[in-house]
Amino acid sequence: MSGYVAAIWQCRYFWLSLVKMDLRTRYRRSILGLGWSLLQPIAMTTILCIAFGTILHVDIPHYAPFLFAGLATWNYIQTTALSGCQCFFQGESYIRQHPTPLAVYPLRTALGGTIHFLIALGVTLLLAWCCQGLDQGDSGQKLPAQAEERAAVSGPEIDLAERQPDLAILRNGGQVTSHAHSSRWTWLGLLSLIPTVILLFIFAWSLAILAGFANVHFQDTQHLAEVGFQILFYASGIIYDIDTLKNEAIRQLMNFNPLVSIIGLVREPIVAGHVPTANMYAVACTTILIAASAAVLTLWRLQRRLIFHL
Amino acid sequence: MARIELDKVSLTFKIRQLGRITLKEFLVRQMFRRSVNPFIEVRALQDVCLEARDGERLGILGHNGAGKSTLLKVLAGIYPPSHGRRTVEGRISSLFDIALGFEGDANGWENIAYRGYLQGETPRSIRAKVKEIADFSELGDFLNMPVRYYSAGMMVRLAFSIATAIKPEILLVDEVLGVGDMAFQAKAQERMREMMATAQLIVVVSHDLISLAKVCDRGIWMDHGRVRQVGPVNEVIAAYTTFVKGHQPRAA
Repeated sequence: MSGYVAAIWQCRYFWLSLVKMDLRTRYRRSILGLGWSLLQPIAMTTILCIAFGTILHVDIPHYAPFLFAGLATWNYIQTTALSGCQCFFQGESYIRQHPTPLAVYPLRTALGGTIHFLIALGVTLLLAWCCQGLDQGDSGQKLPAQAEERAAVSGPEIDLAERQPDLAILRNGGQVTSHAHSSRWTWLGLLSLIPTVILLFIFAWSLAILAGFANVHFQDTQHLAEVGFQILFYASGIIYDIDTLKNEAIRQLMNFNPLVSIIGLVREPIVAGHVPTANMYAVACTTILIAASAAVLTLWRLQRRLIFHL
Repeated sequence: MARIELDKVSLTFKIRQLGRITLKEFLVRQMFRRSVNPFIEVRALQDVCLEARDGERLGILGHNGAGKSTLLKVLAGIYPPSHGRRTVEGRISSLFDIALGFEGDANGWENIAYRGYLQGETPRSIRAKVKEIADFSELGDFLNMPVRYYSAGMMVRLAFSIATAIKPEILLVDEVLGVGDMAFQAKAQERMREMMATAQLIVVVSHDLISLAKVCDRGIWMDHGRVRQVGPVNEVIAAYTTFVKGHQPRAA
């Protein structure tokens, strides 16, 4: 095992230069450059904010960072897993040329994804900071006013919730972040993002390894994974907060989705301003540990014979 | 000190008739226990024993599909043997298919670096060699161009220049040299001879028996995955040529 890690380290210049090349070819082709990869979450956040802001009167300064943090993390996990499916085919010409530890090819995918994620995380922080400033500026007189307003509105809101439960979830989604009203960022919360990024990176690498091997053995893996991720997207509370679900049973069920906790690790310090709960850490770490063990096991069992399946 | 040793190495490919299967197919088959996409077994190598040391130049010959390239890939460590033991000591550099190990979108300079790093160079060690590689390849300004626009001959020039500049202890070459032009072939043979002088181990696969005789000192005749004859290169080539002539149809 340690020998294997050493071998990966030994060819670090190789995979680092591949990551660099991937980034360069991706950005060389567009004037927008870096902005291009952020276009999707920015566009989605804008659209959802406009839609829910006008239709459901969602509290945008709270909803926007909540949504953007969720989308950034989700995109990271999804793209590393999906592009991980192609990692061994992408590196096929090297695999056929020279024996290298195969984990470097998923590593290439995961590292590229991590860099994009870090950029998106920066934008999330910026967005949250702006929204916080916006909020802080008028929070003095607005807080009690808002509470009154909510009390006054509560009548029709219940009405709406009864008629359209789905929309009520979204409506609440905006408000759920309202427990963040009083809480600004804490240093400890922001510092917790560092171990979170490391955890996410291990998770992404493991997923890319598993996806890569699965796709080499079963050619429909990527297609199935795309469908799976589409379902998971709505089950992971990206565009709404699952804590606001009215139905207790569904909420409990959703809490079994480990992605909720993993996304929570990023979201909590940025949106709510505090360190993620111990429960979130427990669920996220266990999931990542399972994924990493599965990846190590897969490498150990299948790596030698991968060449015959390419 | 370079050394190659194959001890009764066999390699069996299991190939699916219809290429890779889907998960759907796999599950269905598990349920019905009836294979619609069976494995075909190909015995690419059978009980191959081989030993070579520093300073030896091995030439592998044989008909198409005799297992020559597979043997080379087993030596390189790309295919794990199904049975038997492979011992290789020394830094390996290999030249297989031409476009292999090149990144089409990157230019020549970048590819020199990638190939170098793949074979364990560091940015510092490769910097010293880049100029030598560029000079030997004689590609000049073409090195600024993405490799995908290179002709086969240009790629061989670049690949051969990199593979040999890295100063491997073991050099494995498969058939590619024939693509280069006359001037480059002569240059390549010259470099092979130079490498011999510094006691390196070279294994070449080729159908070009004349250049094989020039470059190599030992010949290995592969036939249906088995070693048919090993010996001084001229003897093996002679035996192979007589065999091929004997099997040719009269009209030819």
